[in-house]
Amino acid sequence: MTCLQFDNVDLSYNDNVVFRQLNLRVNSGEIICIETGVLDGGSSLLKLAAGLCEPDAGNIIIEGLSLKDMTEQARFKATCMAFEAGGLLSIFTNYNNIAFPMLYHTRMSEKEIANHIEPLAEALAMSELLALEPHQLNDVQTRMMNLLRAMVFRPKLVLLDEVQSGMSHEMRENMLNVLLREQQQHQYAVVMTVTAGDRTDFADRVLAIHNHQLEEVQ
Amino acid sequence: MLSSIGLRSRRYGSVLVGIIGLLGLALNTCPQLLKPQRRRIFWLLFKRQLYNSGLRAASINTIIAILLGVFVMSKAYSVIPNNMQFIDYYAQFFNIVVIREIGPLISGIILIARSASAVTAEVGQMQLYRQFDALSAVNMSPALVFLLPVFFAFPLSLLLMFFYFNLICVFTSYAVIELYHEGGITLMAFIRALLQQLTFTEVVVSMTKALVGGCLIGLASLFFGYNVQDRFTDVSRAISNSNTFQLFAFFVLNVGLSYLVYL
Repeated sequence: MTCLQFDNVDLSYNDNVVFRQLNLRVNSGEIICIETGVLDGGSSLLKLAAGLCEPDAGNIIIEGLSLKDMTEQARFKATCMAFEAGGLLSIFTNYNNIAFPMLYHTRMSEKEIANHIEPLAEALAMSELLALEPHQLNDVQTRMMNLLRAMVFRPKLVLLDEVQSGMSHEMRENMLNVLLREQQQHQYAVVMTVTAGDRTDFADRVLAIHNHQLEEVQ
Repeated sequence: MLSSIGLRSRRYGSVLVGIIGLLGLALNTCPQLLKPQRRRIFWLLFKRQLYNSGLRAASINTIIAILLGVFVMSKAYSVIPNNMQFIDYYAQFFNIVVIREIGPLISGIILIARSASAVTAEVGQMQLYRQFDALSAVNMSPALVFLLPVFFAFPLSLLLMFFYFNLICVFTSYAVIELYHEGGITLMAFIRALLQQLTFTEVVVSMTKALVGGCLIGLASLFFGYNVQDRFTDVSRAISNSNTFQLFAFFVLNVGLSYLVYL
């Protein structure tokens, strides 16, 4: 079953064309890595899929439903984006940045939410960072906190923006192990943007942005 | 000069339109509170806002109320003779000066200086660093997370601050009476005299000042914070503009209501 579908999507910022007639299909449970360079539209692609920016033309469909017609509840269940930078609200602690959206969208009790967050935080070696505030995290920790949030939510589609950047070898291996284990268990699709030096060998497909479109990397 | 006045009026007009828009949005978002999930997150954020804007202002409120209570009653002694039979006049003087006018005004100024600036800075910084994107990324409504807690907590905070301020002023004024007066006025007699002076209209006007004023101050904070653009100086400018507008609007509301009802 198709999880994410881009149909002839155009996107431009003022006169700067980012995508023209872009098409993409991601199947349920599939992992896709997208190689990106500087300002070539990697983050914009993920933001389009998360519904954070509107395409100039074309349609974006998640599990058969047009993204623009979804309620906020349906979007929460459909997709979650982990930002490369920021992505956390500075007025909440890191823990509440993950727990509050779950309180908002689900009927889970605070204890059940804690039971979701804590084991994953421990697996990612981030338990001690949960009580801190976003400004106390460095860039890598911020990306990891974004990743943790996306994994805790367990949507149908997880969008990860350059999550491997800046990580040590051990940290990256552990992060990918946890991500792949969770992805296998809950069968969500993953679209991850990657840069030079990042691992892509775990992906089902590797794509690259070229001439405002996506091309398969051999 | 005329063009400057015109420009300022137009700017204030557009702020008022924006605030009315936020009021509409707040009322429109209220039905979401019927859902238990929305209600529990709202309740957490509402309590946080009420604690920050209402309860944490208690110390500064107390200090100012003590100083004002001492000042007002000392002034009362300079115009009203020191005698038990004038207790009604002390109470009337206190009622007109503190309960009707200065109490609400000082409480409003404290709310603007402490909490409204903080909310404008908070929202302005979030706007500057694109943190509302983060809220959109988790599909949470900014209206429910930021607007409603302020919309409900600010009027309630101001109402609590009025009450608290007046209460402290009553006790401090009585302490001054106790210190200077030789005629043996008891605290109960002073409170009884105050309550006899207090009319239903005064209670309604004070509550209106708190509820409308608090709502206006809260919505203005959010409006100016949300209109921060890309420059860092936009945040300080938003706080400055927000405070100026809030002080002006709150003074107009206070003086206007007092003029309409009491004069």
